[in-house]
Amino acid sequence: MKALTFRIELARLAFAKVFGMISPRAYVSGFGAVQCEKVDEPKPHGDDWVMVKPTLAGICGSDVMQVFLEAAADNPLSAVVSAPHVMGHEVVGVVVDVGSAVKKVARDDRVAISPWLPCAVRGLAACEACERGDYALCSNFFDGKIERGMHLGNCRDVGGGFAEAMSLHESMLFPIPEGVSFDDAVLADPFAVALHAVLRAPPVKSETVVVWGCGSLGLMTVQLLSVLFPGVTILAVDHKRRLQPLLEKLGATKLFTTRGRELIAEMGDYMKAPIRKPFFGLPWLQTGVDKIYDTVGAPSTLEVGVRICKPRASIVMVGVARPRRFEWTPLYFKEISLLGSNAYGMETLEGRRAHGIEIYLDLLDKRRLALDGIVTHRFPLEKFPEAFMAVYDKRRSGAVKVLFQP
Amino acid sequence: MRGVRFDMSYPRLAAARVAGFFSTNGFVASFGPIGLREMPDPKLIADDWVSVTPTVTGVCGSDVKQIFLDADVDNPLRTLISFPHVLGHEVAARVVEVGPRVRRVKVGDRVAVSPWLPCEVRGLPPCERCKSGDLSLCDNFTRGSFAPGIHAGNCRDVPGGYSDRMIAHESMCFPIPDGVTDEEAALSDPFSVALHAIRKAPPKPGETALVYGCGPLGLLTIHALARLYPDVRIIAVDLHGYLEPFAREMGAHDYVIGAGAELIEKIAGLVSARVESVAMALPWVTGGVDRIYDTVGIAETLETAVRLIKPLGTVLLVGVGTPRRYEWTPIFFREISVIGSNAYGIEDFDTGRMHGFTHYLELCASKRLDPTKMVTHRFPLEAYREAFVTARDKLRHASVKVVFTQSSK
Repeated sequence: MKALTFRIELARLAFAKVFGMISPRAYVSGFGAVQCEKVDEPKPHGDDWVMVKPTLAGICGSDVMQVFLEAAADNPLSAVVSAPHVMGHEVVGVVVDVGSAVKKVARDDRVAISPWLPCAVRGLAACEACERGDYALCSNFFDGKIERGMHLGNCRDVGGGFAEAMSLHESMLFPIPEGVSFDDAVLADPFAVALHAVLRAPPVKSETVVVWGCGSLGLMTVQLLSVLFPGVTILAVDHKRRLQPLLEKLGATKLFTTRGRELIAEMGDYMKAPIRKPFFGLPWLQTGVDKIYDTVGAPSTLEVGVRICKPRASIVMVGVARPRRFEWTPLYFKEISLLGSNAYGMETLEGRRAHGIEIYLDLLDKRRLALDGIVTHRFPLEKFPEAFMAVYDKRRSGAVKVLFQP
Repeated sequence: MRGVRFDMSYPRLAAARVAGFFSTNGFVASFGPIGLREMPDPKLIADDWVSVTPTVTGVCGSDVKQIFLDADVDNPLRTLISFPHVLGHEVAARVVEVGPRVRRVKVGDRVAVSPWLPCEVRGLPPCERCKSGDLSLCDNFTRGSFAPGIHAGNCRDVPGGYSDRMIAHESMCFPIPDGVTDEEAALSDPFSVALHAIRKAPPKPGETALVYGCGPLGLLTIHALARLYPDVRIIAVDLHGYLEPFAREMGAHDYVIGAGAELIEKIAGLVSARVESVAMALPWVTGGVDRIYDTVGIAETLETAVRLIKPLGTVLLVGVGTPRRYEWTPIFFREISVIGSNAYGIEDFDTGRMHGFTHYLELCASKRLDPTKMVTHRFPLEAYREAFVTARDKLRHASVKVVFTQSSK
């Protein structure tokens, strides 16, 4: 079958890094780490495994970081990855074959896929985190009957959705209700990530929150805040002015397109918060917003973030940018809580406890979400250089969510 | 009166930087920003102020950072302070004069002085923060009846305790109970900082708490945990072995020397966590400790802390190191909470809802706390250079808490 594979081979990585300095296209060239190639059909790892034919698979920001080799050399997650692997972890598809012990789905079912590979998938008894439903915090990503890897798209033994076929444990599958399209369902993973992040520090009525970064994760955050937390003022921050109409539709109160000093000044005006201007360094606000959902997680967003929130505010760090120094004094002085948020698992919303993906599909089924305009591009697998370049250079391509149609 | 004053003059700063390059003593040379200067006695700012003579004043790590020019230029707290100022904010003192409207204390009283300068001290109606008792989060550090400043020791108009004379609003004065020494009382400020940080994420019985750094703040955190939170295993961590007897005396169960990968492996061994090694980078652990109180707060300690804490665990950032890059991926991946803690205010504790100083002084009076063994060096005000260098070159002098002992003049 055809699949996009990622190989950790010194020669390929070196080639991509060197020529990538000249043009980013080198990363997606024939000599880069990612290739479209023929590989063996995946095999089930037990009689509770299911064969799925992917119909749509979204490109995640973390895929782009991987393809363009943007991770820092000291990133500890390199320990939880096995290669080569088939990429792609935001996937919907159709069940084509089921093992003898499978109960949850049947042949021809349309399914959304949770890409995580915790205890249940590995044939292990549930660890403490899995027992609580915190699958992304599982302590066994190194163990069990499949190779190390935290989710599809970074595990050698369980290939991702940028492929013509996948073999998955039944616990990873969530049937898509009849009235819900593949086009909407394929956003299940970023929605669940956004929901989990918001639930780390849910806004209280009439609070003012910032959603930082308006990629698919940020847009999902805006939409779910406006639908599930009415009365909250939602300030979106992204330098892409063209997102204004889409953000308005999704429920953002206002879009800020500046950064750094200008952004702090604009936020100060908007929040009517006195601004303090040091001789060196960035100004800061004495009070400010109640919560920040930072889907970028970069030093620059954190440095400004701790300056525009009020004392005792929470900043949820859901983005995964490369670490650098930032001036963090207000974190202690304003007693800010910086809360990490990783993916999703079992979530409690409106009194119901269910998997994040189930919650999403249910909200879609009840027509509570309106997500038109988030998916902007679709490509076949062979066109992967164009697809990754579209995400890499969003300014030129106008991309928000880019999909593969395997 | 005399006072150890910090003059914000660029020539003096530059001179101290150059001289400090050659010797630690260079930072405290006579041409630098710091010096024991003669100045007029401060006047009471209003009818509800008092005048006191400091008897014991502790040297705080933040003073040492300031004197040895350790801050980054982009530190935003500069917007909240005013120069020149007399340093010193961990003060025990004797009341020598009271304004006509003072009720709380009288001449001759021994008091611990809370240095913070929030609304009430500034003659302002309380802001929302002050109303809820969060005095160090006050909105008004730059307003009111005198110059900007967050606490005595960085405000032009309210000299700190490295002096013969201070003024204080009566709300800053906490009478010292009989049986509690001035030296004990001078630890009210750092103890309250430690208690406040613990209160933000208190350990549950059976948990393991790691205290990073065994300077005075770390030792007081250990002491508070050991005496006030039974059934918590306390692991103390520092780079230097000479602090081990102090940490054990304060109540630490384990003392671990080290940093980086070596430290991670040692702690993992202590708590039976699995070490996950990473090529070319620091390892991290599966499992780990429940809470970390980071009283150092620099890039190295944070990088290690986020690798040692359990998933969903809390790292309390109490120390105020200069910011640098650190690899922070575990914060998101393991859903860690990094929570900042600033000073203290009105605190809830099982002894009631009171100012941190009141908690401390009562706990000392009832002998539930006894932290004074950490005071290792005492100097008269004239020996301020030696005092600061002793606090700075900890290893050479085996110093922990350095204090000024001042005769009341």
